[in-house]
Amino acid sequence: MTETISIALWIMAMAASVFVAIVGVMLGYHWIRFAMNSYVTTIALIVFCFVALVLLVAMFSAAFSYSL
Amino acid sequence: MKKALSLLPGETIVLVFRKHWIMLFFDTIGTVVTLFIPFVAFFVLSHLGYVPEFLQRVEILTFTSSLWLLLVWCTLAVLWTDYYLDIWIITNTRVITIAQIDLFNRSVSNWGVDRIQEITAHHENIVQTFFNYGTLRILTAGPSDEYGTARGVPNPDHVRTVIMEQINHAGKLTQINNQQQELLHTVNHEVKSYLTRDAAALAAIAEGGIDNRSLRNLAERALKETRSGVAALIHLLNGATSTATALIDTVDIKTMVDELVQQYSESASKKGVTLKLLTGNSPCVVRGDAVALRDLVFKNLIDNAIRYTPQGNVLISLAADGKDVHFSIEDSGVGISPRDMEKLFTPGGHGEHSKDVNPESTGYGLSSAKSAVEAHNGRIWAKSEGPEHGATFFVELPVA
Repeated sequence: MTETISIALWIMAMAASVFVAIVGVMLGYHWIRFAMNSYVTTIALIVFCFVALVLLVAMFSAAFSYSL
Repeated sequence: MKKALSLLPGETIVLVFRKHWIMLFFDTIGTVVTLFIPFVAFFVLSHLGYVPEFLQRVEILTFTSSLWLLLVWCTLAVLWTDYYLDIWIITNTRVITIAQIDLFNRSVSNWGVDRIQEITAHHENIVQTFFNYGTLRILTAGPSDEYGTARGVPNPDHVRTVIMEQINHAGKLTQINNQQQELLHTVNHEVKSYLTRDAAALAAIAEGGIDNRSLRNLAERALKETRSGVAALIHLLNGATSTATALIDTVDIKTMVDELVQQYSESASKKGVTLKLLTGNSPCVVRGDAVALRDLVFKNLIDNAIRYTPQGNVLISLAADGKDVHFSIEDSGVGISPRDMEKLFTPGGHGEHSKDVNPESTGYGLSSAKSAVEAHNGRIWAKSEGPEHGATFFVELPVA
């Protein structure tokens, strides 16, 4: 049971990473292509990536701790 | 920075705005409330003892919380992107709306300000009135009337005023362009007519058989004509066009027409056309612009009657009845078909075969004449029984 949950957590964490990467690329494309203010665009991208990275790190850490 | 929009030559941006911030606020609040639902549910269920033990482990709680926060964070990012990329741009020629719908759908609409017929601004409820935002509806002219709706517009009354200013500005520019075009055509018509006459005089000299006295008369007349033509053109270019006539001079139409008949009688008789003038006893005096009446109206009508009469008679009648001066010119020339009659006084309104008879025709002579007569509060019209049955032109001008 524990092993199954552990595998499920790793798979979900990786799926979440792929999802965030896709959303990030889409957002980045729109911001760089269509936004009219490069400063706002840069700050928005940095903030989005930073928060998403923190949450992904938390997920992977939780999955790793559970599997120990 | 990459340009999100290409402006047309001469186009300038007047106003750029996004949806009112309250629209983003409502969307964000909705998402944040959704964020708390699982946490509250977990808290309640764990108190009631319905949560399995493995779900209460710190690692699982951290994982699920992070996953949920990540989903909400992505949703918020998409919402803010939609808000940031939804833009309205008002330029001096267009109203451009850029709508970003999620991450896969983006539409850009243009409404030319010259096509906008109606624009209304609405505050639809008390929240919109309080925060001063609302809906803008734009009706444009086209094959099928088309409404454009913009929601969440901040200060819609101000935006409407800005668009209305651009519409008025565009209307004035169109009017000025039309006036300039009309003036150019009138100048073109006048120049052509003088050049044609000078060419005829030169041809007569080239043919020979003219004695010195006649040659001198011809040269003097050509010089007088050219001087008069240049003066008329300067007069037109100074703004005394058909659309802005100053009714200041007292003009004796009888003297004016008599001089024109004398001027044209020789060329008419050479062509085999008899030019006759019948006048009444009453004075034919009007108030107006002598140059415009002479060059744009009577000269044009007499010149046309002779040109379009290969051989025959041109009879000019002039009379006054105390209210109006009545001028008519009847010729036995090529006549006017009903089809040509419809476009006779319109700018560029050539007759179907008029170029065959008069290759120099610009199609703007009668249009200029009509504009000049109407600027004098008069009217001009024509009658013809059809092709080969001659034509009669009538002018009525109020007496001074």
